[in-house]
Amino acid sequence: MTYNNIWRLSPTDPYVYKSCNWLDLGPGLLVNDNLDQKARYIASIKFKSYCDGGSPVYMASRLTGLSKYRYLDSVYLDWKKYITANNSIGGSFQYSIYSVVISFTANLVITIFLTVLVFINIRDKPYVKSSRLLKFASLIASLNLIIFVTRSLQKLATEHKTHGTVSTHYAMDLFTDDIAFIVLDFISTCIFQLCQVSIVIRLFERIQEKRIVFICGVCLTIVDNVLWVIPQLVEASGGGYVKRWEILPPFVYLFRISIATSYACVVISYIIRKRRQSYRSFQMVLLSFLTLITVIASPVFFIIDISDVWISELSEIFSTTCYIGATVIVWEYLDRLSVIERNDRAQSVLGRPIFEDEQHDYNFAKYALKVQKALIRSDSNTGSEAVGDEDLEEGLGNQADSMDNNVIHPEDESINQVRFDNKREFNEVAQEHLSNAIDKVLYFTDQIAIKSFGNYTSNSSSKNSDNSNERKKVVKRRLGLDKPKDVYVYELRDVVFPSDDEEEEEEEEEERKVDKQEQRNEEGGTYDNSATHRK
Amino acid sequence: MRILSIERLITILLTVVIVFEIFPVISRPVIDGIVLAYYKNYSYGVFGWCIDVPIDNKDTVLDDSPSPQEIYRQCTQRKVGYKVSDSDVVDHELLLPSPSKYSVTRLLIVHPMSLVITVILWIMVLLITFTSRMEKSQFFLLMTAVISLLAFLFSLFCFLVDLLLFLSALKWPGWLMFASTVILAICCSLLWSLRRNISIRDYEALNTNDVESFAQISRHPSSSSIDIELETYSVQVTDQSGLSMKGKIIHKGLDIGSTIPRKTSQENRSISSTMYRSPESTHPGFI
Repeated sequence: MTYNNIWRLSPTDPYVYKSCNWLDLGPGLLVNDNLDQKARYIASIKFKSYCDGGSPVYMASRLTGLSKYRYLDSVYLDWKKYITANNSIGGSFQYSIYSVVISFTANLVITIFLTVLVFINIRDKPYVKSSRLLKFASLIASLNLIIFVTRSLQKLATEHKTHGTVSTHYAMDLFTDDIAFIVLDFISTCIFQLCQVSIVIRLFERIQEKRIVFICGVCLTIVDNVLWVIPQLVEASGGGYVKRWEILPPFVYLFRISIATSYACVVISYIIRKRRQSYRSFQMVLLSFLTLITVIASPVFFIIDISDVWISELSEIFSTTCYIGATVIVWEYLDRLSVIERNDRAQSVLGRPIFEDEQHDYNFAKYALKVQKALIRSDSNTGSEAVGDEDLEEGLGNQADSMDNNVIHPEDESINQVRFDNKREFNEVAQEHLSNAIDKVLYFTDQIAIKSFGNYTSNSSSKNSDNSNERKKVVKRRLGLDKPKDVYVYELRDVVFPSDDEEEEEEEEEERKVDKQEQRNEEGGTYDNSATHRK
Repeated sequence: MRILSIERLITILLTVVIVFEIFPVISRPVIDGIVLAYYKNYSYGVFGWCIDVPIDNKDTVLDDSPSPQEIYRQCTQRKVGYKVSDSDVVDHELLLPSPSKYSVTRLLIVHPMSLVITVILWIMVLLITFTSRMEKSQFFLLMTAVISLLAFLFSLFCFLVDLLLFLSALKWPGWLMFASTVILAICCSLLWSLRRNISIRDYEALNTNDVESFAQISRHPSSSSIDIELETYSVQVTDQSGLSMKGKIIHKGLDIGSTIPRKTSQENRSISSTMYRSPESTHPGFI
């Protein structure tokens, strides 16, 4: 059998199977219901077994020894020889259709399970866009695998009906031939990788590091997916085999493994760094272990794939599952870890650590110094003497000497002054454009990416903000502001509010106390209102 | 000054990485004694492959360590990627230890690329280690840290390519790439932590440690005209954008440039008032 492979040569079977060629059986009696005379004497009978690509195929439920009319011995011998070939083209059990079907269905079950988990367990806030992207990608991946498994089973059923055989490569060819699968896989993988970028952003606490992670991560994701999908689409759409792009699929394949390994390194180092929180409860230990397994799944499948111990292209088959697992499980792990950290911070004196680049004043200060530097340089260019800066005292002494010469008067050139008569040098213009471009990129990174992909701060008010709208509604309802046009008749008696939080099973004890306090306060307000109304 | 600072440790580790990465690049056919992988009679390097043919019986399959007296060696021309047959190798065709496509061998080009990136990183780290200006430049440190990520990625890629092509036939120069990847990962994390340290140090220099020096400056006879507020540095910048602060920062070694001349408070106000009208100051993010 032969099929397209990313990096493997089209396999050739080292054995020659006699039953796949014409066998001369000599004279004999041919018995068949379809013949005119039911039986006919043939002087020279030739027989050729049904083969696929020069290899024997499994004849479903027919190669049993129970039947009186059994196959020729040469067919049996070839079949035995075939199943002893323990490689990707051999007929051993680990490369058979059973393994492929098990892998496909296991993929499907895991993906659907994780998709359900994403929808019921992952909150929108505080990472609104990332969580929605994750849900969308999970849905796409599940749909894709459902379609794929259905199609592959249909194809296998067709093969079974028409030829009475089942062959692995008919199912495996769908990976490269089915455009719908390629497109959906491209979309889901791309989004999963973006979600992984957002996860890595969450792992870093400093703004600048978040920026770098975002920029690098998005660039790598785009390059990876574009390079991946182009040859696939060309081949699948009948563009034929492009020799020029032969190097591209293995390159991107290894590139993906490299990125997955880097991601695994980052997550594992984070787990090690947070080992105290990770090993606090049995659930967290299990989750940490599961996280560890899911992030290293992709490199492990690569090792299994190249060592050829299971069906070929195993990492391709499990690619979607690896992505969804490495995203969803890690997300869940980080959510739980953040809850533990929030509790720790609430109990500690210090609270959340604050980093220097969160201090905007610091950036203003740096900017101010930058501006002053520019001013001084422009001033020194006009003939002022620069002052030595090695020693503070010396510098100050020199400053005292040159103070009168170096004073910048308000009417002098400022940094924003437009100089129409001076033609600026190319370097200045280029530098200005470059710095503006960098500033714009940073601006969009901050505004679009970081604030939606990963928060600047590990805000502990996610749950509160999640319920804030609900609470506002509750308060409005209590105060009667939800239906402002309706007329109410108040009477003076004790009012008992029904519990507004019955539906919120996750409401904590502390919040209940706050609500009760609010109720008490509002009861007082109601009385006041009623009193006013009666007047 | 500590003998083994973080910068020096990174320099030493990167030197080791460079040595490790040189071995695969100069493997056979460049240098005869170094083999990236050996399978049957075939030996492989980054820039070509060789075949060991026994003198007496050319069909004999040799062990992993053939003695040079009994064989003669045919090597391909030095070029990127293997071809099935080469004009310099007579009567023999390429055989790879893995079932990989021969075109995958062109990916071995990442070995010299990885070496170049690591050398660039090494030079940058040397500059950080031995020049005070680069050591204190946050931008340069950031660039170095980003390049270290690139170097790690390339090194890992090299190892994966070797593994894909040669599997268990990989010899010690190939496994050195794995060691290089691990060491580069360590260097990478050290560089990022170094960047954090420098950033914190600068912040501290601006925020807290300058109090004493500001006080010194304000006590200095020549600084009597400067009105310094020590509550926060932002106040100083906004209202009296800091001549004195500038002096201290230079003293702390930040990359600010020449010393700022002395100005009166009024003049400083004029500077700071123009400063925030600048279009670049609309958002606070700066690298």
